[in-house]
This record gives sequence, C-alpha cells and structure tokens, in this order.
Amino acid sequence: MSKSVQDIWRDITTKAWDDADFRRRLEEDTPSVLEEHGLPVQSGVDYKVVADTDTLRHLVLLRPAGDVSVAQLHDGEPLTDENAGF
Amino acid sequence: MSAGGAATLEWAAVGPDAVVVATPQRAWLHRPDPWAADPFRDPMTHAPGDRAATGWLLEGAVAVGVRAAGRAPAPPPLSRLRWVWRLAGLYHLTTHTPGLLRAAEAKFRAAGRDALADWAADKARDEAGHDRLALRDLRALGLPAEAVVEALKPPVAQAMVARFRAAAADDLPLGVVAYAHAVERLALRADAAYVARVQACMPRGVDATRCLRVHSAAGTDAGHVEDNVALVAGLPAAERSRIALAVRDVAQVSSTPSAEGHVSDAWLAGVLETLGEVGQS
Repeated sequence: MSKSVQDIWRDITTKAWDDADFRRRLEEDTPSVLEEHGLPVQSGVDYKVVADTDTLRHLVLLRPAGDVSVAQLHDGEPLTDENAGF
Repeated sequence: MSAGGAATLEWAAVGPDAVVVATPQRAWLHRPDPWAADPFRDPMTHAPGDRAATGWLLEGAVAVGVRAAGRAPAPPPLSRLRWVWRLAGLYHLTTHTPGLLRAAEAKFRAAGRDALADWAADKARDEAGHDRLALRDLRALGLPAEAVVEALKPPVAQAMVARFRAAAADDLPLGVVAYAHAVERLALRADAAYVARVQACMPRGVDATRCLRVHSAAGTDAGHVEDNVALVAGLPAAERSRIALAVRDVAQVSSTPSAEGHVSDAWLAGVLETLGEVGQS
C-alpha cells in the first residue's frame, strides 16, 4: 500500500529532527528532497519549509479555490433554451 | 459577528477533493490540502447551523454539482416541439413527488423526527397536482397528454426520479431533503424573462407554461428554498454535511446530459405524429 503525503511528511520530519545535514538540504533544496521521497512536486509551484521553535509557531493560511454559487454558473448569461439534460 | 465565528461557519465535504466552506455572506470551494494542517479536514460538529451560512453551504453544494456535470452540448433552439419534450420531463419529475414525500414522512415519523416529517408532509401537500399542470400544458398544445408522457421519457428526468426513489427508501431519508432543495434551487434559475421566452414559442393564445411558472422564480419554489434551509440549519452537523453532499450529487445528476445526447427534432416530430395518428384512429 502506497504511503500518503502525511505518512511521507512524518518520515521527513523525524529524519530532519535526527540529521542536521538532511534538515539543511530540506530547507535549501526542498523540491529535490520531496521528490526523492516520492512526493509529487508541481512545476510552477514554490515549496518552502519553515521550522517551528520554542518561541515561534507557523500557521498556514490555506488558499481558497474560489467562490461558488448558482448565480455565477452561467457567468451572467440567461438560461439556455433547455435546462441541461432535460 | 465576524465571518470566522465558529457558530456562523459551515463546511462539508462534497467530494473526495472538494469542501464547501460557507459564511453567512458567501461560499468558497476549498480543495483540501494534504500538506497542511487543514482546519476543514475534519467534519463540522456544531449544532444548530447558522441559517444564512447553511443557505450558502447548500448554495455552494448545488453549484459544485452543476460544475461537476461539465458543459452540456448546446441544446437545440427552444421551440414548441422542444417544449413538449420539457413538459414530458416535468411531468415525470412531478408525478412521483407527493408519494415519495409521503413515504419519507412515514420514515421520519417512525424515527421520531417530527420536524422532518412535518416538512415532508407540508411539501407533499404543496407539490400535489403539479403533474396535472404539465398534462394541462400538453393538452393546451393540442396533444394527447397521457399518451405523450407515456411515449416521451427524458433520460435525465428518469435518472432524477430513480435518485429520488432511492433516497426515499433510506431508513432516515435525508436525501429527500437534499433532492427537494437541489431541484427547487435550480428551478429558481427560470426567471420571468425565461418564462416569457418559452411563452413566445407557443401558438398565440396557448398557455403552456403553468407547470414552469409554479417551478420558477415566479412560483412557490423561492419560499420552499428558504424553508429547506431553515429545516437543514436546525439539524445536527453530521446530517447537514450528509445533506450537502447529497445536494451536490442531485445537482450533478440534474445537469448531466444524457449519454445519447439531445433527441432530435425529427425524432420528436415522428413520435408526436404517431401519437396523432393513434389519437385519430
């Protein structure tokens, strides 16, 4: 059974806790390390590793994929002559 | 209250890679991020839901379902002939509604869920006879209405009825609430201008939009949508989430064109001609 992103990230986290050289490479060349561990790296996307400390916590603000409503489905166009599918 | 207040925020997974997140003012489609500590990964747990935010949650679920159906091939231009096909679909959609709602009412009552049972009973009463409106519209067009609806069974309408029937068979048929909400919300897209466009395709003096008017922004469905939202907002979080997912599913089925594509005008005309010949014999 293949590992999930969270499974692999757990492995990377403990390895970085244990190995200073690995941690440095993870922070400096993140995409390569992720790929080496089998994580999908998208081209055109930057990946940044940040480390929490005793006095610093990082909170990730997720991106929204966009508004969704029925009104915007037709981009302001009126209904077509038949409701789709009927 | 701020949009982020816990009591006014609603969210629900509406697919493996889609979560609708709603405030009382808007809804977003959120793609769960396996990389991050995602605050929307776990289902919401608070109850009751904020009424406005629940409305946006369901609004988003409908929109995601329609989007998932993709772009249908452009339908043939609206005409009297195409309207006959639509009326047949409306008939098949409406003729099973009161019975399935009464079946759901019995299930809700047996489960001790009186608010849901009362909702189903009220709706069964409200929707009774709407199939006859479609038949009257067909007769107004000079057609043998019963024979037309026997001959014309639009596949999407049949798929919707199958979904409705399956929902009503559940021990706790929350899918019936979802079905009603999705159908009634989508019906509100038909505004007065759309009704006028349909009417303009009819022969002078013929009123063949009775069924459409009832199931449009000009009819009772706007009030029904509000009633549905109020009902859902009062439910436990797990049930609101389940209904949001089912709303998305119904909206997708409703908007997915038949695999065979649109029937042709020539085929429709041929069917009606055959019925006319039968009626004259």
